[in-house]
Amino acid sequence: MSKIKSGIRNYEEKFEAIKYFIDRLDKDPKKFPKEAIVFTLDDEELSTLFTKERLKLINIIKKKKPKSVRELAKLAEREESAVSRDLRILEDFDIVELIKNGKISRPVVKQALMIITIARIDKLNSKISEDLNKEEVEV
Amino acid sequence: MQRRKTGPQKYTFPLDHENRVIITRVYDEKDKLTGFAINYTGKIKDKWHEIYRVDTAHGFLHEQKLWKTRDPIPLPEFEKMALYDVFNIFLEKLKNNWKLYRELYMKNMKQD
Repeated sequence: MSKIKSGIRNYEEKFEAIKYFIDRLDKDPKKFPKEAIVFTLDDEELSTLFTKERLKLINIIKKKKPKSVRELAKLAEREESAVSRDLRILEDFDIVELIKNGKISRPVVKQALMIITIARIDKLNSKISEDLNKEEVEV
Repeated sequence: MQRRKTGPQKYTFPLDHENRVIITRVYDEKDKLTGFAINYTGKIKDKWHEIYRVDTAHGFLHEQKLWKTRDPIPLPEFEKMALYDVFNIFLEKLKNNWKLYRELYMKNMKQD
């Protein structure tokens, strides 16, 4: 399981990032997706959780809708065991859900995903860097 | 980009792999805030538990300290304030206290 560690300063920054997000949301709420999981991450957390391989898996699930983990692994050109490990981490963070049908699990992306990167300086400098739902939200 | 109709908007903010803040905002047609909810949930022994909640549902502002009881605690002293300010006060309160709330919830679980 991926354990994103956060110190006191980091948790405070996360709450500041939440405030920042809500402030932008209030200015034009209809521009934002109705529901989303919003990660407030510093650079280290960003690279720990959202590796290139995991982002690729999310994109494949969204675009190609594989019917099983095996099919996903084939599309990603990776070992099924490695893909399963990554899926467990994404599932743990509520990004992906594995819908079971007998012995086969079908991966689905649960909701819109936004990532706010936190510059590790006193002044919060955040931006939504990615929105995999293509809502093109900019703050 | 096409604009959506109004309705509750819900955003989940993971603090880490076992703590989440879930914020719901309700706006009217003119994008004015008409209601909100702040939920703090924690993963304890592989299960998610709702630990703290403050919201404007059922027509009045109230909070729920779920390690004690599910009974809502009315907050009439904030009723005359702008909802935007009330939200910020309670988000700040959660920022300063969520670890304590989690501890209290876990302590209460052990006693049950």
